[in-house]
Amino acid sequence: MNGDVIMLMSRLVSTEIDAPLREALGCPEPLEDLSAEFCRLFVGPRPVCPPYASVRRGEPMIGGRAERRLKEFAARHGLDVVVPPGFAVLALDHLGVELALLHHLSPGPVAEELLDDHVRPWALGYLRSLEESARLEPYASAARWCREEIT
Amino acid sequence: MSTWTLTRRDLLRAAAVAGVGAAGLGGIEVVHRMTTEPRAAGKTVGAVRRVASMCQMCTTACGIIANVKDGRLLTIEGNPADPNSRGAVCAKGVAGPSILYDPSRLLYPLRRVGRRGEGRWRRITWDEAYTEIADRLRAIRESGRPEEFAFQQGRNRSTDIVARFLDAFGTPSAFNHRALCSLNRRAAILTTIGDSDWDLGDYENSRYILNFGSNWAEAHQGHIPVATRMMRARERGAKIVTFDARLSNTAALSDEWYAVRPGTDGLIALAISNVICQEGLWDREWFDRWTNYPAEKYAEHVRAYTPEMAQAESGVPAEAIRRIAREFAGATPRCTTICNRGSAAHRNGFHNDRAITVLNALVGNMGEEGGWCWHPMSAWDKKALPEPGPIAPKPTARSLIAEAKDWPLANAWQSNKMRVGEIVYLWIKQRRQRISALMTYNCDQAWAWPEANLVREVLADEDLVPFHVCLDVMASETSNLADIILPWTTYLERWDIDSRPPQGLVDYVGLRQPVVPPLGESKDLREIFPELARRIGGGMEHYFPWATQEEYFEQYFAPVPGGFGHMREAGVHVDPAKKPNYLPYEKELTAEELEGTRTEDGVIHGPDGAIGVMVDGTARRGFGTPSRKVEVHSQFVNDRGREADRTISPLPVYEPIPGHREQLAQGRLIMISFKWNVHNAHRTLQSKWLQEISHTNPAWLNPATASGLGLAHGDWIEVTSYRPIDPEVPRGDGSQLGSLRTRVHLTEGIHPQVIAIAHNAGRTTGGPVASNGRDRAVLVGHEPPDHGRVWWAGSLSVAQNDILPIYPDPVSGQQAYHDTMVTVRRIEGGA
Repeated sequence: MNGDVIMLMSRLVSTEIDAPLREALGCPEPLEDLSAEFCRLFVGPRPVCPPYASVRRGEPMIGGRAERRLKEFAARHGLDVVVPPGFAVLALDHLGVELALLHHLSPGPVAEELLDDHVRPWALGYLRSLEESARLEPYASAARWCREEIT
Repeated sequence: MSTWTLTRRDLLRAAAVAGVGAAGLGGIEVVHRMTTEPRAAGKTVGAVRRVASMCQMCTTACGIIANVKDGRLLTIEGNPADPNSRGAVCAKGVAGPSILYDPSRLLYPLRRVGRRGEGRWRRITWDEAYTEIADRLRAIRESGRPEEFAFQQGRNRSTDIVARFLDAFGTPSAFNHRALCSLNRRAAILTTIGDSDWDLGDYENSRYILNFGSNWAEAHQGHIPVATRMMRARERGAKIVTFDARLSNTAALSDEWYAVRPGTDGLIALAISNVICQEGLWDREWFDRWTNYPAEKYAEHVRAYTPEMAQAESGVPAEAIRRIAREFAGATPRCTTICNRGSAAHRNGFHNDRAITVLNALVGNMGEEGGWCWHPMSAWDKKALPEPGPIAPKPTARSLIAEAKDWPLANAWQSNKMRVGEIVYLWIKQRRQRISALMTYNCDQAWAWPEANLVREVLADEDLVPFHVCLDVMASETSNLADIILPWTTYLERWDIDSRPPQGLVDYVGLRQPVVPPLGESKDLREIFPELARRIGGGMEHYFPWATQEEYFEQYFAPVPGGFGHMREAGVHVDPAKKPNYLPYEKELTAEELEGTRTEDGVIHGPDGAIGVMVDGTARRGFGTPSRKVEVHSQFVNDRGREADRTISPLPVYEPIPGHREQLAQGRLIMISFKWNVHNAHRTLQSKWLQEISHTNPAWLNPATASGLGLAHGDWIEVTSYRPIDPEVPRGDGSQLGSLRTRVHLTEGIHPQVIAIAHNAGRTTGGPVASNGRDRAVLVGHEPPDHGRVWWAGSLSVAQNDILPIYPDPVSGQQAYHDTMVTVRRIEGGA
């Protein structure tokens, strides 16, 4: 599994692309357009692809059972998650959190447990939807590569 | 969209250059805790914490207890210590967590990208938001025209902080929704008794309750406190008679229901009064002692309102009116009326509610145990718990829109801000008052207002509204038309001092406190306004000296035994020394109170105005009216009308809705609106739990009416509305307004001349739950695997507000929600 792809995706769904990342990616789009695309996809109003397992699975509330299960997983393995200020992460069932955990644990049996029990059941379909819905790069390509990495 | 595509090589280069994988650009970090042993899966962590607070799923503000575990709200239950709701909570209250954790919530400050309404947004920091808003508002304030900053509120349970900010700024342009809600009822009660604008029948101790169109089981402002007391009374044998055009759940819980033609409630009350007078069932002695109009003369006045006339107009059988009059009077003093939007939200609603109120005076039940009661405080005791200073002075600038002088009773009582909300955007469009900045707070006027399409047109026009900030929990038709969106905390994440008119007739005070920390980057007004005041400067900041909200509330609740700590623990405080507000007018004035007073025409005047009245040689407190008696005859309203060139009868009268008789004869119907018990206008549509219960709103039609129109259950119809035929109403030319398409729901539970449509439906935005899947933004490429997330997607959900004309009662400005004339025709196909 390519850790760079996983961590790039984790970051892309968690916060806007800033100037250094835009430059590193060689992205020609203006920062404001990239920010608007981030909002449209992940934050809203009316986000197209809210990156939460709970929402994807049809739970009426963000977080909920999906977050509770992930919290239990993290607690069982003695893991804490530190979300930087400004990241648009409301609950731990956020794709960015799950991918960060995956990156941290890979390779190994705990990473496989995370993938099988928490990530794959929703993220494969989600990433396909994101690839279809994104209007700007790098979101579509990153979603495709990330899906290939975790399949 | 550009043609650039991210290649794998780009990615690897980026990783190499900037170390993405090594979190060189910043990312979510995972750290290992030092744990001695792994914990078993599924083991609970921590205990459930119970936090007392107050609901705000509707305006009733019941006491609640939130069960919180590991920082997450699990469930909500009623707080037994709350003297109003006494531990009960409705379905809406239980559904609070689904609003708090609503996946479509607004949680970050946003600024529009592109033109207004385009729907493109970017996140901004709070600092950026504060800077831009403060710069705009400072310029307005320094221009010397502070009234150009307008504040549009919906339900406001943070009145202290809102008034503090607006007063400190100096703007009088504070627009509320009172005229869309309860203005006529408040005006009628204030006119008649003066003490209060809100009657609180002592239902629990009553034996007979006449309900004129109040849907207390589902939607009343006193909802749970009233409903639980009504049901307790009924268990004890009380009788409830409901007059309503529609078989509401309240009507279903009554002993008798009469389907009345909308706008005739006052006539029914007058006919009942007539029977009581003619048959000598009145408490004449009380009426002559405590009202300002002789009983004999009132009997003469109501003589014209015969039960037969009431039957012809309302549909209630004359014999039933006679029987009910006898039963009602026979139960006195343990009898009372209740009324609300069914009687008040009409073109003639002021007089309807006046007639109903005076009916109580006729049987002498006013202020009696089990009778028609009230309390002078609509909130907490503000003398015992004064607002912490410094208090900003009231604005000296004038707002043409807020003053609404075309409607003589709109702002007739200084303590009651009765703005004519429905004309605000029409008048902005007509450029009667310039607006340079608008802040919308907890309000979706672009969806909820009559002629909401006009509101949208005005909000979309950057010339009419150059700057629009929307502060709300949820994305709405209004936030779509903002320049900046500020994410507001839900009532479960913020502080308030709050209480409602006390149904137990003893005032109380409650605390709303955060049961969980604010989600995302949401903030409350109590944090936003002080910061804006500091940045606007110019002295505004002096009115916000507290470092934290807790410090402010520590000061506010200092007079309560146990102070802020007690409030945080219990959520509510009632002074045990206070007694229910029975017979307040009988109270004899003390020698101390009478010192330095003068008596004129029986009214006792102190240095600050009238304080009592001589009754049978005794100085008593009386009522809060100019005459200190129940003003059956109100010279005050008559004079106010004359000043505005309007005729307002000083006595309660029945004024038929102009044009109704003629249009009904032509086969038109009266369209009314209503709320379901699980919904509160539009806000609750965000809740999946509640939408699963009720998510559709077909039009109710009587089978006899449908038969005449050739309609069957489920048929598609087009409903076309017309403006009133009424020269005293803006644009009252009877012209066609608009149409909606819906389906027919056949039921005997509706008056044959009425079509009823629930107005808590028809959202187009806010996500798929709120809009029955109509807001496809979330669903594009995002269909859940089991297709079960919004299993009711595509269900009929029709917005009624666009075809409701702006229709203020010429007396008060109350929106006549239930007087719209419509035609109905069958159509093929769907919406």
